[in-house]
Amino acid sequence: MVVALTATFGYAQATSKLMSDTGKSYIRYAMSHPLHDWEGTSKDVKAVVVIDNNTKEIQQTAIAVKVSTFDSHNANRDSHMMEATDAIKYPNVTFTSTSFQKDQGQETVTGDLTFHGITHSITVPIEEKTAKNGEIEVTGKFAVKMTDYKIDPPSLLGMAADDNIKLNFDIFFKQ
Amino acid sequence: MRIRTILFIVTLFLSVGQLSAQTDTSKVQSDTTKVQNDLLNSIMTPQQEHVKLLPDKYPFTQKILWGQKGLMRNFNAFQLSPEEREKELKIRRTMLKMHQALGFVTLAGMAAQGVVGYKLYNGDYSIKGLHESLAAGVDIAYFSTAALALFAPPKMLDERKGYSSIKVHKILAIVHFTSMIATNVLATQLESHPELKPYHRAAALTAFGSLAAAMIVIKF
Repeated sequence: MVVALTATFGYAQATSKLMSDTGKSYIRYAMSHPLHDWEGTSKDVKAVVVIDNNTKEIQQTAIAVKVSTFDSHNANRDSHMMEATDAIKYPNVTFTSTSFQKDQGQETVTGDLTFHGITHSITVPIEEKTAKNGEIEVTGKFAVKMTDYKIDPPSLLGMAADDNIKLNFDIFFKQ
Repeated sequence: MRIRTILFIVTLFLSVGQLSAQTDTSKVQSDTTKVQNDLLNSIMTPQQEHVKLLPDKYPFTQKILWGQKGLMRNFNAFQLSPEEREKELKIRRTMLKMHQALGFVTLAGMAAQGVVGYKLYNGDYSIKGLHESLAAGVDIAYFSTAALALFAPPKMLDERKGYSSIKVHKILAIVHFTSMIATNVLATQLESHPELKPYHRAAALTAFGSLAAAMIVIKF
């Protein structure tokens, strides 16, 4: 009985969940149009990581960001992006990890990115820093093509924006 | 006989083991998906799934038609719902594309008026009829352009903080709208008050300049 209880307790404490600090975390996208380039930033990043208490390594993560929270300082443009991405039907962009790998000091995360209701597996190189207070900072960047997610790039004055969206993120996880 | 029996039993166990491994792989995959979904669901609050259908603030011209208690909401086809709002946004997109196209037509008409008006101002009264006809055409194009923007279904979001090209576009719209009204009002007074001609010209040039600026600023 004692052994069983100890084993159960030990297993329960093997991992910890850390939630994102929405005051500091952000995800930013950059897009191009023949007339101008622009960026939009969301500071409303909902994310969670599961940490192995022994190795302090990230085992899993899940991230959700509402399309409506991306701010490019132009509400008409941000609203147009919501139209292009059918944000009423698909309000969130989500990512759930399937694995974390380390190879020659470079860490990568592989997982499912769901955008506009379409899911693709992507692999993103990341950098991880742990502060003295246990806060974990994860940064990285990657690019996606809108058409891969069945999105028609928005157009202005008859000219379509470039298919590529470049993203970078800086997410803080706290106890 | 005994060896055969043993070999048979061993082969049987290996086969069962293989089948079990295949089943375990798909079970592992569905377990992984479940873990992914559970983790994602732990951060998906009702607020995260909710989309506000109308912004808090938008022009009263849009509110009259498309607000929660707007005139269009009296029709079954335009009852406020997520699906209806998606259709409205397509209507909005079409109206704004027409607004852009007609804006260019208006600007071209104003430029033509500038050439004709200059000749008229300098004494060539033979083209007064042309100037008045062009004025009617420019008025129709201009106020149609304005109506397409003023009465379109509202965008999804409230205005963002800080500078944006669209805010400047809207400020310039106030300038060219009032200038257009002034140009037309002064035009009606010119027969009895010809001394107002310079003011009519100034109002027309202000309308043209601010309209051109409003279109250029969109580039940024």
